[in-house]
Parts: sequence; C-alpha cells; structure tokens
Amino acid sequence: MRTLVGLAVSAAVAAASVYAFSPRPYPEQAPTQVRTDSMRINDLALAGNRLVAVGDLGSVFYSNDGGVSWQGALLDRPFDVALTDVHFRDAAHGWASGGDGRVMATRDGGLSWTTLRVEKDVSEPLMGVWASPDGTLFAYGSYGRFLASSDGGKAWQQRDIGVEDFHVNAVEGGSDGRAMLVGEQGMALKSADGGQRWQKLAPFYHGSLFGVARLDADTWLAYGLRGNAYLTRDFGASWQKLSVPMPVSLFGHARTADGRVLVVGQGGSVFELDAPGTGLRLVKRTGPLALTGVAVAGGALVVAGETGLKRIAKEDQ
Amino acid sequence: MNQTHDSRLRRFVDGVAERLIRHRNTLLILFSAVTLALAWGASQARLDPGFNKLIPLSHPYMKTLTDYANVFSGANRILVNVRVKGDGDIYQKPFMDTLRAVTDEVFFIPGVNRTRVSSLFTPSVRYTEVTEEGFVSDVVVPARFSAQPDELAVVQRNVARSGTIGRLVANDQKGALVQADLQEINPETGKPVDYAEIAGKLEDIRAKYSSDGIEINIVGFAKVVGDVQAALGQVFMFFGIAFAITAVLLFAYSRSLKLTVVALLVALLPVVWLVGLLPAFGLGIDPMSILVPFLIFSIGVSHAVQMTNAWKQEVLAGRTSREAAIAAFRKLFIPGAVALLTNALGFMVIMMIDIQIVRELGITACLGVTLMILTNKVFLPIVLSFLRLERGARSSADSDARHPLWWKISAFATPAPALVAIVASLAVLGWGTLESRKLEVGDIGSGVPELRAESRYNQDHNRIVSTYSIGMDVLTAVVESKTGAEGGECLSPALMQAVNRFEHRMKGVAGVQSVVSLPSAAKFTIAGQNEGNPRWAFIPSTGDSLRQGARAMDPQMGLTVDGCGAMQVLIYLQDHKGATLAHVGSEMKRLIAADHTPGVTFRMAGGSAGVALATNEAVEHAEVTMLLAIFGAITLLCLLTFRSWRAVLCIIVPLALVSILCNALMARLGIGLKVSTLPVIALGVGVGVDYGIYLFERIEHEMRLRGLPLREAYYEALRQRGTAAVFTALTMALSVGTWAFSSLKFQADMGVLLAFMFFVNVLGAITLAPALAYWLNLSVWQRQGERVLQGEASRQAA
Repeated sequence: MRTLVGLAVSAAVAAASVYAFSPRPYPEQAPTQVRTDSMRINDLALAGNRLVAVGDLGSVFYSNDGGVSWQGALLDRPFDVALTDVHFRDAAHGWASGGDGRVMATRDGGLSWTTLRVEKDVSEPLMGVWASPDGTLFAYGSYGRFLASSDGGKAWQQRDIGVEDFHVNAVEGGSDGRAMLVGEQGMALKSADGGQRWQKLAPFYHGSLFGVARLDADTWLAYGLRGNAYLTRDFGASWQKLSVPMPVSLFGHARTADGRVLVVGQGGSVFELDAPGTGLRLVKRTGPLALTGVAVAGGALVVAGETGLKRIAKEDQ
Repeated sequence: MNQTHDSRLRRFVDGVAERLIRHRNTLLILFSAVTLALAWGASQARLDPGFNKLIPLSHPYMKTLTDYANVFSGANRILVNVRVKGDGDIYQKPFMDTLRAVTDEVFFIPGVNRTRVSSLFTPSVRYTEVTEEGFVSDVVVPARFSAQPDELAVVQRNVARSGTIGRLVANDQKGALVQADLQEINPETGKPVDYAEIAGKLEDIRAKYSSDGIEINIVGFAKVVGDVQAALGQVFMFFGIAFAITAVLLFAYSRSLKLTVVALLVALLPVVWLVGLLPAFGLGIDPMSILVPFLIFSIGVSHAVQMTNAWKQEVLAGRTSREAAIAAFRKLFIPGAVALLTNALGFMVIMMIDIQIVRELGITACLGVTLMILTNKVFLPIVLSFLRLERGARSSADSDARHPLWWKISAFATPAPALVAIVASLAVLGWGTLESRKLEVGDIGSGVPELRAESRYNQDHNRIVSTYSIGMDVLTAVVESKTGAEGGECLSPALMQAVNRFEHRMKGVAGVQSVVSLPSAAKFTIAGQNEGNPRWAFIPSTGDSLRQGARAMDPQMGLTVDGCGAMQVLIYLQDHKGATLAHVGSEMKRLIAADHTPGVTFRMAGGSAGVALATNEAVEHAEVTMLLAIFGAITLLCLLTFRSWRAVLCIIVPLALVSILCNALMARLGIGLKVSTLPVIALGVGVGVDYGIYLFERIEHEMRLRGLPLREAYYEALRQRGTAAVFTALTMALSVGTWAFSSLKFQADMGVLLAFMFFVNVLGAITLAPALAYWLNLSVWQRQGERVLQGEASRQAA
C-alpha cells in the first residue's frame, strides 16, 4: 500500500515530465495572405459600386466595401505577367489588359474574367482597351501597338494610325465618338469618329505623356513626365500648361461622381484640378512611391501604385 | 551473490587504499610533475570567439549557407551610423565633414572590401532621374563639394532622388550610414582578417568622431566578435570572485586553514590539468567552454569537502592522519567515483547535440570530471595523510549527541512529514509543468543575443533599426537554376517569374518585413528604361524583354552569381524571435513545395535568421534526446550502484521535478531555450545527482549492513554527508551565480539557471528523496540488514 503511494507520485512526475518536455507549440501566427498593400497595383476602376484593381502577377482584386477588403477575381487562365489597365463601360462590362499582349473581358462587373487574346512570342504590354461607342474594341500599348476588333475581341488587326513605334500610353473617349490618344515623346492624336480615323495634334510638349482625361467634348487634360500637365478647351487645337506644385511624373487619373478630376503620380501624390482649370492642387501625399491609379468609393479615397492598394478614409483626406 | 560481489569490491578498494598510502611519496612527486607540465600547457591555451562553432553545420540549411558562403558574402557587413544629436538634419557642414572623414576611415580598415564601401560620399551611390531628354544619373555629392549652403541644397535634392532614404540615409534625415563588407581573407596580407583588430579600429572611429553634436553607432558581425572577446576577459575576474567566496565559505565550514587550502588547491588541480590538456586535444577556450573551469572547480570543491570531512571525522574519532586518509578513501571512493562517472556521462550526453560549441563544452566538461577522479579521489587522500589537523578545528567537533538540525530534517523519512513533502512537491510540480509549457525556443529579446539588451552594441543596433528601413534579421533563400535559357539564367522568364511569385507570397507571411530579390530589381530597371512608367515594372515572359532589366543582373549587386546559376532572395524579418523564425521557416517550406518550376530549385536558408532558424531546429531536436540520454544514463548507473529500483526512483524523481522547474524558471525569466541554455539541465542534473548518490550510499550502508531503520539511517547519512552536500550546493550556486553579472547575456543566463539547478537539487535530495524513500518502502533494505546481522550473529554463535 505504502509503495503504491510512492509509485503514484513517481508516475505523476513522469507524466508531468513527458508533458513538460513534449514539443511546445508556437503561438498562433496570422495566416499567410495575399498582401494587396505590398505588391504593384497598376490600375483601379469602378464597376457600379464595386472597385476593381489589377496589377503584378496577373492579379485582379475586387472590393464591395469601398476598398476596405479585397478578394481575388476568378480568371479563366491565370498567368504571371502584370495587368496594366482596367476600364469599365458600365457596371457589368469591362476590359483589362497587360503584358503578353493580353486582353481580358468581364460581363459580371469584374468578378470573373475571360481571356480574349494573348501573344506568345512578344511580351510587351498593352496599356489599355477602349470600347468605342460604335462597338469596335481598341487595344493599344507599347511600340505603337494599336489593335482593333470589330467582333467583340475574337479577331484583332493592327491599324496604322501614324504612331510609328512610340509607346501608346492612353486613350480616352466619349459616347459622342470624340477620343484622344497620348504617348511617348509628347505624341497626341485625336479622333472624332469613334477611333476609325486619327489626326495628329500639333506638338505642345516633347516629353512622354502618360494619360489623358476627357472633361467634356472640348475640354481635355493631358499629363506626363515631371509635373507636366496641359489643358485644352478646344478639343486639342491649343493647350495651356497647368501649374503643378511639384515636378513629379503623373501616371493616372479619375473623375469622381461629383465631377472632380483627381490626378496621381510619383511621391505618392494626389492632385486635384482646380476650379478655374489653371493648375493642379496637391490634395494628399500617401507615401514615397509612385501612384498609378485612383478612385473615390463611398467617400473614401482609394489609390493604387508601387506599394499596392491604400484606402484613405474621408476624415483623413 | 550480491554480498560476495560487494565484499570483493570492498576488499579491492581497501587494497588500493593501503597501496596508495604506502607509495604516497612517489605518487606525490608524480602528481606534482604532471601538474607542472600541464600548467605550462595551460599557459598555451588560446581564446577562441568560436562563432563558426555556433552553427549547426550538418543541418541542411547550413549546407546551403556554406555552399554559397564565398559567393553571397554580404552577411559580414559593418554599418557605421553617423547621427546628428538634438535638432537639425544631415544637411549641414559639420555633419557632412564628419561623414566624409568616417567614410575614409572605414575605407582604410584592413580587410574591408574597398570596392563595396558605400556612403553618400562614395561614387557607387548615385541618383537617377528620367527627364524629357532621357536618363540622368550622377553622384549624390557633387565633385569638389565644400559644404556651401547651395551645395548642401543640391545634396538634399539628390538624396531625395537617389532612393537611399531608409537605406543609407535615416528616414528622419538625421543620420547617414557608411556601409562596408568585410572579406574573410585580407588581400594585402593573405591572412584571415582579425575581427578584434577591426572592432578596435571601429571603436577608435567612434572615439574620434563622437562629439556634442554627433553620435556614432556601429553594428556588424565583426563588432559583435570584438565585444564578446573583450567581455571574455571579465571571466577571470569572476573566477577570482568565485575562488574567494569558496575560500571564505570553506574556512567558515571547516575552521581549518590547512583543510581550506588543501581543498582549494586540490579543486584547482583538475582545472589546471584540463586547461593544460586542451591544446593537446586541439581545443581552444570559447565563450561557452570558458565556463567549464568554474564548473570543474565547484565540483572539485564539492568532492574535496566530502573527502576532507570524512577524513576529519576519522581524525576526531581518534585515528592518525594516515589511518584516517585510508578510511576516508575506503568510504568515499565508490560513491565519489560513481558520482563523477555520472557527471562525466551527463556531459558526454551533451555531445549528442549537433552544434560544435556545445559538443566541445561536453568534451571539456567530461574530460574535467574524469580527471577529478584522479585528483580528488587519489591525490587528495595522499595529501591528507601528511596533514595534521589544527587544534582549532578539533574543538569544533560535535560529539555523539544528536545534531538537532539534521535530526529534524531526517523526519522527512517519517510518514506525516513525508506526505507533506510529497504534497508540496506535487503542487510545485503542477505549477512548474504548466509554466514550463510557456518556454520558447530561440531568442526572446531584440538585438544580438550574445550581448545584453542594454549593451552599447544593442543600443546601437536598435538606433539603426528604428531609424532606417533595413532590418538586421535576414533570412535568405538561394535559387539554383538550370533552365538552359539563352544568354544566361537571368533571362529565363520561368526562373524570374518563379522567384517573383516566391517573393510576392513571402511578403504575405506574418513576420516578414520586406523581401528583396533580383526580379524586383529587374522590374524597377525595366520601368526605368520606359520613362520610369511603373506599369512596365513586371517580369515579362520572353527573354528578349527581360534584357531591359540587365543592369539589375550584374553580380556586383550581390543578388546573383555570374551567369545567374544561383541567386539569393533576401527576406527581412520583423525580429528573430523563435516563434517568428519557425513560422516564416515553415511557411517558406510550404510555399517552396507548392510551386515547382522545372530546372529551378529553392534552397533554404542562409542569413543571420537562417542560422538562427537552423540552430533553433537543432536545439529543439536535441532537447528531448539529451534529456532521455542523461536520465537513462543516471538510472542505469544508480541501478548498478544500488541494485534497487526504489532507491533509483528516490534519486531520479526529485531531479526530474527540478528539471521541469528549471524550464518553468526560464519561461518566467524570459530566457529562451537555445544553444547556451540547452546544456544547463544536463549539467544541473549531472551535478545534482551527486547529492543523491552520496546520501543514498550512506543510507544503504546503514540499512543494509547495520540494519538501522530508515529514519536513523537517513539521519546518519545527513550527519556524515549532509553538511558537506549543502555546503557544496551553496558554494557551487554562488560561484556560478557570479556569471549573472557577466556582460555576455548567455553567460548570465547560464549562471542564473545553473545556480538554481545546483541549489534546488540539494533541497530535493534532502527533502523529497527521503519522503519518497518512506513511501516507496525503502525499509526493505533494513530487513536485508537484519538478516545480515542475524547471519553474522549465528555464525559467531556457531
């Protein structure tokens, strides 16, 4: 009997030892996730109330809560190169484009995407897709690429519109068929017939232009390298240089629901076109690296760029 | 059967004792000669910082590290931070003059790779800008810079455009770095670089340029080595203190100057022998094995106290010195030798750990205690046989009256107090077990673990980490590629995209701060080739397009080898805590396994965090093996000695309890389980078992041979050996406790834990062990004793 007590104590110590020295679990760590705030996101667009963002590694994210949380969209053929641009015609229909001459389309507001075209031998990126009001799709990009498809994206033909082999960086147009195209070395063209014929504009700047924004049929904003932004009030016949407080390159823009024009660029800077249309006013600096896309959703400012997606709540703007 | 075996052994020991004393003159001369020879050897022993021995070389990660040690050498970097104190930024004349001077000084430190020194003043640091006319690229600080106000403004603008903020210029623009890489071999002399010399030169720079307005911070492996080496000198001071404490306690205990001196000298002997033998084994003294002499000295004192105590008791009983020496040898040789062999075994077990520095600690300690069998069990009785006990020491001797304290303590061998002891132990066990689960593997604080958090080095480290974006904890993966791409592997889109995906995924792992890889540099370059448009910054899927990023593929950038057969991915971590490392490591393993690209192999893991990760894995792996081995060895030896499972349990159970408590203490004190603390339990148990062996040897003798009841036998054991055991525990705990004041963090940790182990083990041995003896019914020994006595009585009657 006495021995049993001693044995029980010994057994207790033995059991405790086994437990004490058994592998100790580490404290639980946050699960590994895709970091939308530390990868290159190139563009951002609104599909109705939904935000859709595209970027490096063929990623497409969407957010239904104004940029608070992001989900990955469904792609029919995942890939590794970057998407450079996303653009919506309405809340449901949109196009994304990028490296390997890729064009993708969505019909459900960015939730799922179908590949329309991709090239094998050349990898230069397309910089965007413009859906003309006449139903033609135009895809444009590096080294003078200007492709047209009249069957919704099944077959594409290169069109010679006189851009030589300069990078075509942006095209924007309206439902009246008026469009404008900008690119490398101050190249600027306009079209009045939905993109079928293009007319070269008189040079007004010799550096690269990265974007063009249509404010109305006559008023257009073009922007590019090192704080260069120009405004025309006569559909490109004459341009005025805007005052920009910092010599930073400008890469993207958005028109908000209340009619403001936001332009983003290097140094994490967000500008707004001032009321008289004579200059860009600095609204916010979001960090040291470049921004390429911007949107306003539910009052929050959402920016995309070299350090990914960032949401700035209304009270912090 | 047992009895005859016992008496044969006893007769042998008796014979040895007689012979030993008969040849005492010869032996004395022999021992003295050996000591002199080894003392000369000891003076040849060298100090060895032993950093390369900290790496678990057979770990697969470390294979990757050694394979590429000469290729990606960026690990051995020195950073000198020049910082403005108080208000103001770096764009002022005094600062710029200092930074230029410090850059020059660092440049001329021997062993520095002069092509890789960078600061704002080196031509390698440039700014680039895309203008309408194309690329503009120039040095940040213009030629013929003389710090005029307009020039300072130019520098400020160039810095902003150079992308060096956070890397070479502090984020708050109040400091700037001079960055240099050390070479392993100094190309001028062809000899390995001398870290101590470099650390000294760096300290000179600090002394020369620190002022009221300027602060200098220095970090880097070479500086750590220098600081550790400097701190090693303190150990001699600690040894002196330990020696003095022991001497005072010994004298207070024995009240005999002669016995004190003899015990101290005999305890020093194995230390001298050991240090003298080290060069012969090709071993040096490194920051960990430098602790072995303390240990050996303490254990030596412990055994010397037992021996001198036994001798004194014999002398007080009226024997001559010579007779008393023989008697003491006869009584103590077996338990002493068993205890020392158990120690040796315990230390040998440490050698199972696959880390060189711990292995050498094991070898050194094992060698030390083995030598002690000669010095303490053979040499000491010889010395004692020449000694005459002073009158002062005699008078203190207690008579036959019961020692009141020991009699009270011996009550633990009776039912009720035993139960109390057991219940209390179980309570402590419960607490300790739960607490021990909180023990963490690896480092817990920030900075370098070798040095204390408040050390100059770690303060410098924190200053740099907090004001720059670069981390000091970097985990690297090496990507080997054999895709056969035309124009070099870097032009293989499959490889570059695989690395790009890996980088992207690793960024999403908790604990990762940032990732730097060749694809990310190439993307940046490609965008630069296209008017700096960030939309171009991706890895294209043709080799032709990749060519635009060629500038990033230059091996000079340190991310790849010529031809790109191997590139490294640098993963900067938030810290190097064990949990962070383990998580990032396991996620990295998972991500690598989940994404296979033909011809591309991802290998883990280098960098400071890679070494730490591999070390933690090795330590974790070794812990249980080591414990099983030491407890297995002790159990076996005790079983051989006592041939009683009851006695074995009485000795082992308290040791196991104290081991759990040691882990609990570590968790409470925020000490992680790492290379330096891993051997503590083995050392503590190996030494702590001594008390049990000494006490139970006596209990066995009193019960099995004299038929005394348990409490009486236990009282006898305590009376004869308890004082010595407690005294020993106290001196040992105090002398290793002095390490707590070491400026080397790991020595301090080891000191505190060993002191705890030494002291609490003796408490366990005198309280829990007898309680268990009662409740495990060790009284069977008494019945054996009674039978022996009856047998003798009947033989005498016949």
